[in-house]
Amino acid sequence: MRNLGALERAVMDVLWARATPATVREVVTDLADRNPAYTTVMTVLDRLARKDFVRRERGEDGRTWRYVAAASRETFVAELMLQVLDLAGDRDAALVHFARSVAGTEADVLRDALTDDPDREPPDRR
Amino acid sequence: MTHALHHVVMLAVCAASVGPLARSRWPWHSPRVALLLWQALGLAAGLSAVSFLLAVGLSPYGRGVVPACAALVADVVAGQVFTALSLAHLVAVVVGLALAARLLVGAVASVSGTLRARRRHRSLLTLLGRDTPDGDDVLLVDLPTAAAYCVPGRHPRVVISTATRRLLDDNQLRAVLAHERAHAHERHDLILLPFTLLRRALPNSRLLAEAARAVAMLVEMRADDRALARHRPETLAGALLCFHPGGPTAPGGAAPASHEIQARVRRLLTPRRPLSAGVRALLVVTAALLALTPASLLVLPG
Repeated sequence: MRNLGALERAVMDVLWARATPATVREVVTDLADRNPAYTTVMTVLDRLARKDFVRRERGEDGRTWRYVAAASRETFVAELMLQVLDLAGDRDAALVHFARSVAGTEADVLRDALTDDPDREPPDRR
Repeated sequence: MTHALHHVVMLAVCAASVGPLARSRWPWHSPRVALLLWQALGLAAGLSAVSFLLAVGLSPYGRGVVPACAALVADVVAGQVFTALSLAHLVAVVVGLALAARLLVGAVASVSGTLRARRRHRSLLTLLGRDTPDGDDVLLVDLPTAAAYCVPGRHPRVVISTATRRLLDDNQLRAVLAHERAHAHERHDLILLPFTLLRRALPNSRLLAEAARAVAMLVEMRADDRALARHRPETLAGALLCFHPGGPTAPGGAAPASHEIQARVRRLLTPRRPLSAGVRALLVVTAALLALTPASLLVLPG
């Protein structure tokens, strides 16, 4: 599992670094130093799409899939942070903390960061 | 009606003990036993609340709620329900069942929401977390805020932020990790769960809020105690003081430590005085009686 996680991370890094949607082949090329199998990368991209980290769209030829990061790295960090600070709005504690440390301004900055991003989709659709 | 009366008395006893128990300091000396008592209290109150209306409605059967329900089902099937129960009794049963169903639905929604949030959090951690030399179960995330927490579950993860690493020295960090692992291994999320569910059912109850706060505090103290097996209290207390918003990280640094943090630090820095074995045994028996009384009323004849 840990290796798959590392590959997911690497694939996201590739997509974040590219400005435009990429095909599986292009992602494989960008990951040349890891030398991953084509099918493995395809599996990882599917997993990432299921988790709403990646969006899939048809290329110009209408046949090949192209993949693009669903949001910037910063947006995901902000989402993580909201959960960590327990500001996600649900009362049910999903995490157990060592000690609370929330400063008001921090929380505001984060909320703004999240609401500013028009591309962001709600994470809990299913 | 004796069953219904028992449930009312039990609810009154539970409600009356929340305040004193939450305000007492003796539970802090032995958090584990105190948590057991709170669990029993929560269970007893929940069972009694759900069973009360059912016990009223099913009182003509003169049995516990569970066998009486079976008798009711048999009567409904036989088409002679109105010979057994009056309309008022039936209304009580229906309202009682509706209430129980609502609580159950709320509980399921709450639990599945928590699990979903955790799953999402774990996915985010896969993308954003890095391995650390502190252990296989520890992840480091690049956050500007001091954070240390555990994602509970069958494969728990302890997460610390880069700010935490900067803030704490090595010993303090190890003490914090020990504290978080205690949360994970003793499944403190499950200890907190019943109170989360009760609060969700009655969000405006001050009594439940007080109970949930007390339990949360005891859970932290229990984790502190576990960390003390390997670490010095001064180390953990130092880490705690680094953490709160008024600590060295906060701009201005003027805000006082929260009441909870102050209490934990003070507790760490005074010599340990666990309750005596006799007192603890007494508390365990009390907890067992509390939990068993309403449970036994479900099956015993009235």
